[in-house]
Amino acid sequence: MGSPLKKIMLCSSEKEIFSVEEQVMVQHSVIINNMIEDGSYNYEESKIPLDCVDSKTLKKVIDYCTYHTHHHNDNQEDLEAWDAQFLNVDSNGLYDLLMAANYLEIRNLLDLIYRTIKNMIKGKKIDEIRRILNIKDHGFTPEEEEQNRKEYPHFY
Amino acid sequence: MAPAISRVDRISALPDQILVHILSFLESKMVAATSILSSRWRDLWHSVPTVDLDDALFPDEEELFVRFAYAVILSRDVMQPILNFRLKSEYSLSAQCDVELWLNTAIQRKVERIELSPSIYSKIKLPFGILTCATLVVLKLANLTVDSISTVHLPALQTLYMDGVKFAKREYVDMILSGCPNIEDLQIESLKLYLKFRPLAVTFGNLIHMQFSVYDCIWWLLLRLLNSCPLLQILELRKDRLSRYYPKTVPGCLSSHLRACTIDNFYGADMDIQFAIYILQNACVLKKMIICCSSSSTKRDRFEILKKISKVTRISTTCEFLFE
Repeated sequence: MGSPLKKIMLCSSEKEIFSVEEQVMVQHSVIINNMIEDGSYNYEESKIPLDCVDSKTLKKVIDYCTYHTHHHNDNQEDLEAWDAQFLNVDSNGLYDLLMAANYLEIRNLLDLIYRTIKNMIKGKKIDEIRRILNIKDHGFTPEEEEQNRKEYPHFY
Repeated sequence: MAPAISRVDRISALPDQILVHILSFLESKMVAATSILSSRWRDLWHSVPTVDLDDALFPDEEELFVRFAYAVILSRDVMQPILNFRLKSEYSLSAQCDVELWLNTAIQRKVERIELSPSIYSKIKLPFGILTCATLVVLKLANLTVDSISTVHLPALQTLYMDGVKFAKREYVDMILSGCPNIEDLQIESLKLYLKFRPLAVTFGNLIHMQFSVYDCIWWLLLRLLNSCPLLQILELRKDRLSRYYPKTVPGCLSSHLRACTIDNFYGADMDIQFAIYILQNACVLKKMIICCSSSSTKRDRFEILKKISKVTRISTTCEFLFE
């Protein structure tokens, strides 16, 4: 567990530096927790390079970790409302967040994103899911697509 | 809130492993439907570790539901485990042999979580293979009949819920509980709780949360069960009647671990009040006591109950008392 006063530096793919309370990242990211624990982070010099995370996404990830560190005692409903607002992004934004959360191993954020994507699919018709996920080229031959539409009309 | 629509389909570009994980949160009919989304999604559903069958999605098409269930199970990649198996059925006719076949397949594929809730009118019996499934971690059963048991060995089981399960013989409850020594969360909802007279032959060293919902709560049977749960922290009790009994002893968990106790459907009969007082006077580390009055009680009844209980000296000085 990191000291609350210490700050660590994270560096986005655009080489922008973000200074974050150590405790915020240690609590949420398995990777950063491991770096701090095994002493491979030097507080004077180190900047953790996150080459696959752009500044916009990194800022959001830090917002998520900060909020959940300081509000973990809030009631479940409030947290869920905050999470829903936080993830009100397009599917590209969701993809970027997923990749960042996956890279940093932020398990509760990953789980939240998985469930959000699940809800984009759940209970919807095929045409609607294609629109939401932006599947322009379904890759089926016209015959296959026609066959599917004929066989499973209620799914479309 | 619907996320705005983006221009590129990057979700489909996620690795198989992630998409399969996302699909594992969906019920099987929806999962199967994703196979006609695009060629990218066509074969993913065969590897999803969840079989989630709900016949409410097949209104008036019971045969189709059964055929679909077989299709889901047989078309799966045989090398992939079935980690979660869920069956929810409103049709009362689902055949025992179908259910057993589906479950035995799941058991062979190292299932960790089983949820079975057939219709309350169904005659489905608990497939006994479940009771010796070494990989099982969560078991939630509703409306089934347990009609014959030989061995129960569930060493990995952490969560057991039995809601409206009928037991053909009294000793079956004892046998099932005795076969799950590592349980952490136990919920039983039943008209009657049958347990035998002797103490349970097992200690639930990990049991933290217990919820009992019974028509007739036999006080000493409850205490006997509590005696087997030395680390119990949360007890939730919903009952109609509470039978007469004046206990002489206090189970260990009460004096050292119980931190939350809820009594639901509280009528305020003498026995109810005695029991609440017994908890308040003996639970040394209790942080929260919640009493929910029966919906039929009047304002006056509630006031009387409150008067009787609030004058009791609580052994735990930091105990919060909530009265609803």
